[in-house]
Amino acid sequence: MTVIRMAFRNLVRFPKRTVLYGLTVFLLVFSITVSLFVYRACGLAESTLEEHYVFVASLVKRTQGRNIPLSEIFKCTPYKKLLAFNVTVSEGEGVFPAGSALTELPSADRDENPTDVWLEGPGCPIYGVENLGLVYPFFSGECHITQGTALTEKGYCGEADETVIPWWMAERYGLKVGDTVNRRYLRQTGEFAYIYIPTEIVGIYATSSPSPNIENYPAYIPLALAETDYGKILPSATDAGDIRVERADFVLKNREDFADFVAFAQAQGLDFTSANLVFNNSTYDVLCAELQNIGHIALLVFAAATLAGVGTLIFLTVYLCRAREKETAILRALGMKKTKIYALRALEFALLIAVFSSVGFLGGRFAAGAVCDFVNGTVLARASASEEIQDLNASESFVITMPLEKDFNMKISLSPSQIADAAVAVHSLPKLSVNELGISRHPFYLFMTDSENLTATPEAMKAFETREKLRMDIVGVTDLSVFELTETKEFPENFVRIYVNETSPYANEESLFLSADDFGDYVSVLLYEAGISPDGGRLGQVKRYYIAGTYQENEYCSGDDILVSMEDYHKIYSDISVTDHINHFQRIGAVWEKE
Amino acid sequence: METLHLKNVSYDYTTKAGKVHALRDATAVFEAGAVYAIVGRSGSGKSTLMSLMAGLDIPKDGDIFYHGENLRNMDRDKFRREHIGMIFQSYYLLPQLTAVENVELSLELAKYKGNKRARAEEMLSLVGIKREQFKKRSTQFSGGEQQRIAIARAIAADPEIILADEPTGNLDNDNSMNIVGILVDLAHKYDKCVIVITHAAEIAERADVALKMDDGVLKCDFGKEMV
Repeated sequence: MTVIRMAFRNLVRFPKRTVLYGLTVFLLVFSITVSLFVYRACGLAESTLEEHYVFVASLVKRTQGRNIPLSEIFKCTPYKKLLAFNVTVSEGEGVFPAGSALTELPSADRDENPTDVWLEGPGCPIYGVENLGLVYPFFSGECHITQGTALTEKGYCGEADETVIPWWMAERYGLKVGDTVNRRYLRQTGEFAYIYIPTEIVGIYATSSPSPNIENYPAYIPLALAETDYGKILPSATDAGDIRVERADFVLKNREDFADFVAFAQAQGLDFTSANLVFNNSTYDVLCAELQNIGHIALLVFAAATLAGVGTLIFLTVYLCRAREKETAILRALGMKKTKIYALRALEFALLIAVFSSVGFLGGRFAAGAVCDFVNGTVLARASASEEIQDLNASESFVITMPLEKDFNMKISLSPSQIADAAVAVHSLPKLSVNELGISRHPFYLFMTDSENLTATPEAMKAFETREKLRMDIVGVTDLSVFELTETKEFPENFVRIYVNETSPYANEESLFLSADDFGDYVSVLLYEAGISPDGGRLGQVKRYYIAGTYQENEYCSGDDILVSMEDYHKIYSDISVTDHINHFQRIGAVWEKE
Repeated sequence: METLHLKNVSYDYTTKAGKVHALRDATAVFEAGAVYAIVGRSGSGKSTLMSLMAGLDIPKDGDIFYHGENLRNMDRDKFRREHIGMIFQSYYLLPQLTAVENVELSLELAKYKGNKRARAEEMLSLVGIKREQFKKRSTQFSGGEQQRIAIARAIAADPEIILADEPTGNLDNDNSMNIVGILVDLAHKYDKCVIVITHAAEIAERADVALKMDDGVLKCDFGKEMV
């Protein structure tokens, strides 16, 4: 107690000494705190930028008017470090019509008032997208979802018929999330026909700065869905080279991957004479350089403050101790133990350091916040508004060669830095670990079995069309070995192998005729025959698949589900879509932990 | 009865110039109730002797006994706190403390059981400090007053031995006589063993026993009888 009382008394009774030493401690801690907090803020900001920045390599055409075939894109998609990608397509005059057929299938009233069907306006154009978050207006934050969600996981893998529509379409037709509207395509077979497919609205988007022609803002459906749509309407498109796109965007993990990605594309034989890869590193580079500069300045301040402060503090400590040698001698003469005298001195210094360090730390933290605000208002504001970035963001008409640059309003702060995330999250490609199983599911419908008469009469065919179709989902899995399978017969090597439930009534069939469509869900209407078309173009693509065996019901597939390997799943998907067996998007719908 | 007994005490230390024999084979006995004056020129070893008697250092050779107990084997800090009161030429009061706090401090260190503040005030009154001056900082007193406060501090814990190193060195004649009077009274009235290191002949004259230090050798001088 004596030591503690003496220590406090000494500090109070020698105010000049206390203030001098305290001020030195304060300045040292203050400078160190400010510099370290600012340095840390820069580091955090860099990490945040690295983490949130979407590094995009864009495959763009070199010549105006010469779009890139999908087959070129498939030279880039196998890149192992690819996180996500986007392709936007619009084929077959895909629209949501403006007339009554928007919400009611024309078959319902074609006999009564077929004329209305033909007078329908084009309504809203439909784009198929693989990744809505990578569509420029969404990526840049210009467009955002106001109701519902963006396209969903189920939509992206083709399992659900869904759409995200623009605000103007919702307002004009009184639509809301959850409503069903019919997407319409012009079927390009021998007989021109419209086909209608019901689609659920999952989201409505709006723009923060609408252009005068708002009808240019389209509705979006998943590319997986568009692929099957085009499969129905573009029978002439037999391989991936027949579909051409303006651009494709590939999301990579970090900036260093750009060079590796180019090398990969080159090795894959990407035609760089007609297409080029461009990158969106400008914003990242500008902001990173500024953050690093500020961080270096903060480190220099830290080093200088530490050297000067610690030096001064050591000098003062030694000086003050020496100046108090007489006092020490007196205390010794009074019988105070050396250890107690040392404790007294240490306590005095500790009290000073504790109090003034705390004040210095709090002051430094506050000042660091102010420094961050200053940096945000000057250096980073200038960087964000730099000509280099603004030039890239200024293109209202979205020049097709422009990489996906984003106008980041970067702000450093003492807590993790804020950065504007994409308005719509980027849909990443699932990456499977050893213990994970990739599963994709697509609804198919049983058209016919072997037991039924394949050479049906027109009457029988009509009966097929009108009867209720059994839904048999194709379930593709990345590892068939986790299932208990029974191979029922010798099976040709190159055939698609489908497995049915061992309890299924179809287990003994040789093959199944599957269609991607439930004919009750869509109709086609002949352009020149006023909606009366019992067969022309109404039938979707029907494919015959041979049953390789049966599976034991499990948590992944059951009932009427058909189990296939993921490879075969993509082949089946290619059969009903515009892609082919070799060039197709290898999507995985869901990832499950293996049991 | 002997209070402090120096037996063949020697002390040396090394400087750049070489080894210095500060004290050679000193033998002396100090008793309560007497004033001892140790005189000698500068560098003769007086202060070394005082430091050894106070237990601030230990002899290189020989021993010092306090009531027969060897200082080597004692807790010398405790010995100083409880049995030694020290007075210096420059008073050595703690400037950050008031007069009464300076005295009180020695009581605190000596773990004085009674009312420390009352005892400190009693001691200050004893040496002639007025009550209204008790709470003045020590630096606000004159030299003579400061030395009286130092004496009050030295005797507050009721030590048996008072060691005074040139207690009048910085004082004028009147104040010197005053201080010497107090020291003599401490020995004769309060039965303290007062050992004074001094240049002043008048102190030596008023001492009961005078010892002379000469080049580290302790001798009896001035016709005073060495105990």
